[in-house]
Amino acid sequence: MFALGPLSFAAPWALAGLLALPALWFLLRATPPAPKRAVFPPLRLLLGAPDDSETPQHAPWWLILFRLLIAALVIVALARPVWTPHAAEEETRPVLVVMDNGWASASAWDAMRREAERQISDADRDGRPVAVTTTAPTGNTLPPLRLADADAARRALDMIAPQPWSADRAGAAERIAAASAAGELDGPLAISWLSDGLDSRDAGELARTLSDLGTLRVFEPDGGRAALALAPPQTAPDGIAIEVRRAANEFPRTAGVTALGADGRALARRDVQFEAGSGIAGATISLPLDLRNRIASIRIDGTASAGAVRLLGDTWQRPRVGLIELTGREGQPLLSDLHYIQSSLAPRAELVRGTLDTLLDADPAILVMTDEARSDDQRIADFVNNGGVLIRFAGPRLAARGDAFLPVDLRQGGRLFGGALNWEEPQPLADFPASSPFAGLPVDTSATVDRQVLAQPGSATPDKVWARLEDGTPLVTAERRARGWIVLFHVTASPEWSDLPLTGLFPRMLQRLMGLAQGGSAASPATGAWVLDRALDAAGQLAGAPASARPIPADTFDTARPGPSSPPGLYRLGPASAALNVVAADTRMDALPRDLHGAIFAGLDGPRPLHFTAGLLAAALVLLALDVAIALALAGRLGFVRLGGAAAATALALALMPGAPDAMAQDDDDSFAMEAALQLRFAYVRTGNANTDRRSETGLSGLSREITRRSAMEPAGPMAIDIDTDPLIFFPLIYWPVSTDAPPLAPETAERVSAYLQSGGLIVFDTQDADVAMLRAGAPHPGLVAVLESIDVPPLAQIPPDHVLTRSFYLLQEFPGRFSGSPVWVEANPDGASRDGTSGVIIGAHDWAAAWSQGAGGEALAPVEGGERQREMAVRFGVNIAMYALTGNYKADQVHVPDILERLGQ
Amino acid sequence: MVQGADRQTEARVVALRHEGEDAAARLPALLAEADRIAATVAQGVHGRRRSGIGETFWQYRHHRPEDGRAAVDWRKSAKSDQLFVRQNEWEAANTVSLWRDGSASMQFASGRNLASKADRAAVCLIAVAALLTQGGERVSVLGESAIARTGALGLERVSRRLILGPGAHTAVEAPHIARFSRIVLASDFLDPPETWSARLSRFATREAGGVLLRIVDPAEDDFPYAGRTRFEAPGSGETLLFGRAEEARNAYRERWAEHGERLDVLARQFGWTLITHRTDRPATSAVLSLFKTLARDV
Repeated sequence: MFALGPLSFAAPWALAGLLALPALWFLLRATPPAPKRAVFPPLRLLLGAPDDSETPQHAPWWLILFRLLIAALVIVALARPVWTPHAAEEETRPVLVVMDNGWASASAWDAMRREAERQISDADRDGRPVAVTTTAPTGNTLPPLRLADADAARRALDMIAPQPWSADRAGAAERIAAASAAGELDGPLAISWLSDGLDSRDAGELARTLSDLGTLRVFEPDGGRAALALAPPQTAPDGIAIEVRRAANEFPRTAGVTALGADGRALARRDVQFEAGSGIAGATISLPLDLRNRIASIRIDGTASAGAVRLLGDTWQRPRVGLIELTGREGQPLLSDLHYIQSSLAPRAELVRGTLDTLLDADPAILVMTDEARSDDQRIADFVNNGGVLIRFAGPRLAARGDAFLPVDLRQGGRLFGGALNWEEPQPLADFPASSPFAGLPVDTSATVDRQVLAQPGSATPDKVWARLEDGTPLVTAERRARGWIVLFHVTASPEWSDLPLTGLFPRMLQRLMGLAQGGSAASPATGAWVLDRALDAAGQLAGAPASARPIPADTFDTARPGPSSPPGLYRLGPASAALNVVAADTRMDALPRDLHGAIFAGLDGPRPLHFTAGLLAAALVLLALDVAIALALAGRLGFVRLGGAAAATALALALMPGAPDAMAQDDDDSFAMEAALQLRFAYVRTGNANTDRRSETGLSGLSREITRRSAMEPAGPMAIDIDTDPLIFFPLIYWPVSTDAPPLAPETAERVSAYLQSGGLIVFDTQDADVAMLRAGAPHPGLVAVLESIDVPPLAQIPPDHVLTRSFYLLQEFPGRFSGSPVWVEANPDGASRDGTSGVIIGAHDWAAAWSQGAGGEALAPVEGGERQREMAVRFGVNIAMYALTGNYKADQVHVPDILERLGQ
Repeated sequence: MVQGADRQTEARVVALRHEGEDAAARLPALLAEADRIAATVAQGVHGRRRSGIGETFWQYRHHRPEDGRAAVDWRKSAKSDQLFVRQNEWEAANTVSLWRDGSASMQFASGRNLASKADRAAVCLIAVAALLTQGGERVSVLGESAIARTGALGLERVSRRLILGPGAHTAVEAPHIARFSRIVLASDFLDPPETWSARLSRFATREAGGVLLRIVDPAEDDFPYAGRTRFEAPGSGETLLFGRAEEARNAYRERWAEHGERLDVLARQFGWTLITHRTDRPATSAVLSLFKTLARDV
């Protein structure tokens, strides 16, 4: 060690290298820059040309100085200089570092750790032994405390982390006293107690123990990093009152407090202001009841400490609502009943979707049963009898047949208002009766009901009817069953039967029903044991339960204090959950008393030694790079360098922008979507067979042209899609030529295709082999089997004579392409599906693409078996398919029956 | 080359073949460029037809007893009572000999986008040859074949020799030419003017004259070098080191201009025309002036 005041060198002998600099001066002077080579044919003419500086060239003096500077930088860097402003006092005693690592240390932990590292480094520099110990229990036995070398101390320091519970200073004092008695800590020590700055009952004991062993310096975190504690919140009339505590000091301080929902969204935020000299600050978070119910935790912003987090248990929770869902019925999301219910309830209740089995396990307070999910399971009866609320919605199934879980008897068939064959007007809602839970809600007169199920007259007594239409028919009926309720909406939860779900009234009605749920939570059970579900770590984050956690018996939970075996966090006992928080109502926050026995106080974050080696070497490297540029400039080659530099800069920029290609790929994706979505386009599936693909392309473009010519539909040119990767959702119609050797679909692809069909897409599968199909002698088409195997295709039937496809634009009874006569298949019973009664697939072998094929000038590109008339018929069928894809069952609507009857009559 | 396979190692054969292929690959490109230039020039020089020779035309004259029966043109004679003989005009074709310097300095090109001097010389000469053969003149390559040729096939052979031929200096030092031949010498004329004076005097003894096409690379003209530079002469391996090349620039330019003047004086002395062409200029201008000069002479 060699020191010049505060500047010292770890390897001072390297400085001897500076002596070599003058020698370097002469060396650099003698070396001229390397010449540039140039081929020059008229060399003869140059012979004897004047060259003023033809004597061997010196490098310019400033360049030599520059290079000497680089060399000097490297030499000084190798001497490992350190700037240590405080290294004034010489310390020779071994070092003992005691660290408070309870929850209150977490916010200042970085500074404490740095200070501990500095102490260890100082000891290392002088070769003094070090020992490190902590005050908080970890649940494991701590390693024995003894003085050791700095590396062991660093390893010990690496193992130390703040704990989410309080420090046990008495325990630490005991351990230290024991180690001292065993002779592991001998001689006078230089002791640093890195404290969290908070007083405790046992602080004095530890201070006494430590000051007996040597001089004690107590470090405290500065005011900005001192621990803050969030006391238990209290309910207030318009929200919740929060209280933040600190060890009082003379500086004012502001802290933000945020209330978070279970999903991590911030619900409210308030600032609390500590006055100078005050240790308590409070604020009230004003929140509507429903928002307050969603608060899952409260945190002090910017403070990573377990004490700055308040978890809220069941007492603050919202009712749990179970939505019964049928498995495997993923229809169009915007048309499904559950979507409307979920949208209405999501802000006010905790929603669980699933089958009845999974729902009953989740123990909901309310069950919602749509018409589709109708069930007369005995468990539902039990659920209602045990105090559950069952909310039901009507629908076609209920209209057809009633069941046991109804508040009133229903008439079969229901009632239909409006429409072409009805002369009753759709009915608006009447005002709610005063006895109804909906009483007082403003009725939205724009909400009309087109269809409903009707209660048997007589069974709907006034006390059961909670809402009526204007003509007096019940709309919502309810009945008390044992301890529970059954509520029936006489309409669907989707807008199919009424406008009610589209109005703001619907969610408000449903929210009123939430009040029927029994309380917010079940009362805490008195028996059993609370099991830690999610633990709170020292940084205030939710984490998995540590190994040391043990269940807490229910009868002692209220008095439990956080510790290694009962870490703070969320505990569960059956359906109930409760929070064990670090800060209790009686937790006190006082500063360490100044009169601790033998203690000298100091602040964390003293000046730290500055190491120059890396910076000096980096500077030397930069200068070296500059030197290369200078050398090149002197040799007249900078033009080349500029060019190469540009290329290198470009390469570097590309390397530094890993996102750039992705962004471009993103753009590409967008361009596909834009191209597909901005105009109506048909698509065909690329098969990889060039002929087939070209035929599909010309076929669909010919069909598009014919459709534009003949109808109001104006499709743009077709697009080829890769069924495995491209999004399908943009295309109303996908033409899929299937060859005999078509490979089976990958599972993800099959899922995508199924989703496309479910969301209302139409795929025309064309095996294009009606001419040779009979050669298979009834065996199924192998390629089609492979493709359809993994797709969820419903039962098929040949196109019936009254199918919409036969009249969606032209009246047709045969569906030819290049071939004719073989059957064409569609979904047998599309009414049950969610696609509004349209078939999602058309399967045939007529090679329609060939018949539709047109060149750029409109000329037919492929021969058709039956001549021009058959080609015309094929085109007409194509127009019908396109109309079918776009308008669905529009032509099946009875609105057109009179017109069609009239035309048939002619 | 096939015979060589017996004696040479396999590697040598492969290397030679590649070299040949490379050279041949350049041929169509050069030919195409020369063709294009020739077409431009042919359209540009209309006066050529006026004084042009070898243009085929014919006349009828009265039959004379010594002509014999076979000479009678019966078609024409049948229209009148007299007998006619169909007679072709005597066509005299001039021979133009071309030579492209093939020395190492001619392979120099200062920029990646510039043609080498040899290539540019070949292009200009082929274009002129194409124009001449179109006009019916005969063309030969000095020092490579004594037979002057014309027509498309002749042009093809001449082109090959212009591109691939060695262009040896012996061809100009002991030229095999007929008296009164027209000569086009394409070179960079970097040899001392005295050398060229000796060479041209040999042509003078045959009373042959023509055009000196001096191909100049822009770097030779401008001397854009600066900084510490080691100059190398192609072929000889001679080098010359300059501490600051820009110092030599003015002196060099003076000498270069003087060299050009001396060449000019030399050409006029012997009755030749000196055309200087920089390779960064389009070849068309050189071909145009070259052809104009030739057309004036022949």
